[in-house]
Amino acid sequence: MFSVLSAIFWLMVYLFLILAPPLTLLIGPVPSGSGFWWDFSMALGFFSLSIMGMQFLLTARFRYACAPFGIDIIYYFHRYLAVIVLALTFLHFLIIYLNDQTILDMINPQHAPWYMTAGYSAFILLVLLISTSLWRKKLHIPYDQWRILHIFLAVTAFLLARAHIEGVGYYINAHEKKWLWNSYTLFWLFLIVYIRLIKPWLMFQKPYRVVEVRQERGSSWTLALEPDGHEGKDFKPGQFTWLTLRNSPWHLKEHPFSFSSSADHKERVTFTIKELGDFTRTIKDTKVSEIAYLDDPQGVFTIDLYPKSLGFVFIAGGIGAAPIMSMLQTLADRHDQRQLLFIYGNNHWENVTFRDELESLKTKLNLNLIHVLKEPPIDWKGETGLITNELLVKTIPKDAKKYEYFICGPGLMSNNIQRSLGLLGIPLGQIHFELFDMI
Amino acid sequence: MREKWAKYIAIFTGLLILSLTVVFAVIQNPVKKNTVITEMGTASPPDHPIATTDNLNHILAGRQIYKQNGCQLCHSIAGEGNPRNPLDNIATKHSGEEIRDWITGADTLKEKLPSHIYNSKQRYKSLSQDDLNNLIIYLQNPK
Repeated sequence: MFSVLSAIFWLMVYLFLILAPPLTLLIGPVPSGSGFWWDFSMALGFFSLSIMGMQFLLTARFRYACAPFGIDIIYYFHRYLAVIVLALTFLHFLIIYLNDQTILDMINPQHAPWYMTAGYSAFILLVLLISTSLWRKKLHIPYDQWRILHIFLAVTAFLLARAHIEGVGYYINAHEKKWLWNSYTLFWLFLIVYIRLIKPWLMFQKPYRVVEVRQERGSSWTLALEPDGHEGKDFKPGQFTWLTLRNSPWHLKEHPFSFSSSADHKERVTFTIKELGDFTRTIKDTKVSEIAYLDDPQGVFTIDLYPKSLGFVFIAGGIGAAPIMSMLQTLADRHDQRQLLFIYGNNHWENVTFRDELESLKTKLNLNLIHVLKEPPIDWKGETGLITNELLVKTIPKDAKKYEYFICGPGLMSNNIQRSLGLLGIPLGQIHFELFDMI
Repeated sequence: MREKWAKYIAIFTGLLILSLTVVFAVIQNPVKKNTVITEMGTASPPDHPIATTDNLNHILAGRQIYKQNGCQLCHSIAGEGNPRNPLDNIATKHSGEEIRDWITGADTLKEKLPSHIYNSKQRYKSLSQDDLNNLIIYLQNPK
């Protein structure tokens, strides 16, 4: 209940922050209207800029504001809103164009006033910004380069759009409106400065040191880090954070990974990372005593939000077991004896990451561990194939609705299991998953 | 499911903004009223126009200059361009020389115009006398 109220509160704060700047233009001395459609178009422009400014807030990863939703959802929201801004901006232009088709003559910067060139340029950059984000993988843009490009395009498009409004001037021309809009602009710019300078500085103040690099089954590596000169950051079991290796926090070369260690031991945290991409393939080259930086932990994929649950059902595929390991390790440290079920799907028995640790955890927890192998060895007596509806029916507890369900794995697997659990009557609010493939 | 919530809230936000955009436009345009010339200020009796409708070449050249210089971004003629500052009947209220002063942002207008508009008009001082004359003729004969 608290979480719902908290979510509503932060949503209201967000709506206030995007609606206030354009609506304050109607307070005090206001210039005369110019016809419904003309002013409709002008208002679209103001609202678009306001949303653009607040896009920086959505990616600032403010821990308390993100907590009720989960940062993955905030990022999805950020993405949908970007498309909405593009649509509103296009509508802003279209209405003016329908009113006056000669506006297209102003596309040539040699003849156009500077603020029109600024407006057109902002729109083009917005198109580039959104297309390179929605189709980054199809366009083969590496993640690190994309981040730098994204920030450059976003900040430039925003400043050009703001300059366009300044140049047109009409609604913000009154002295007090100028002040107000300059203040909003400073606030939006502060968000950029906070994200790109202040937040990395805060991370820089709390470095971690690599104390172990351990090979795991399934082409995975576990990095163990210890806080260097501080107590470490609190996190909840199952959460994730952004890890920076071999660079300063200002370099924008951070990557999100789930903790795989117990949340009760912030003095030594681990990340278990599978070799899947350019960055993850370099994890094995990390040297002991190297410095690493961690952002604040994020995410709502955690058992700690459900202390009254009768027990937990975990379902993972491959390296998706990492956050589940964090939850199991934490439950073991807390001597929790609630009923646990872990259905763990892999291709080959030899590649089952955490295989030995899970056996050890079985002795400390009330844990029913079910391995499911797609290509089992000849003498395998356990479950085989995929994690199917039939397997779930057979294995989940009888009083299934009293449990919380945590799913982590490839998107298709996660979607299928969510659907199966829904068909089995598990309320959607009790099925938890992380949307990893955000960009 | 959670992803869908992100989509629903984004759509809700978009619809809320569209609604408030309508509110903004309605507040600014409560009743249909006659267009008001805001920039030109008080009307003054027509002076001696420096050309007439029979001078078609001047009018056409003036229209070209009007479009090339983006006048329609702030003004409208016959419903085309920015409706905020219509110029349709300007010749009935201002003499040719007054129109010239308004176009080029003469010193006498410094107090009457917002500073950014006054400043933006200064660049029209670089128009040649022929171009300015043609533009004035067009504004006196905009039909």
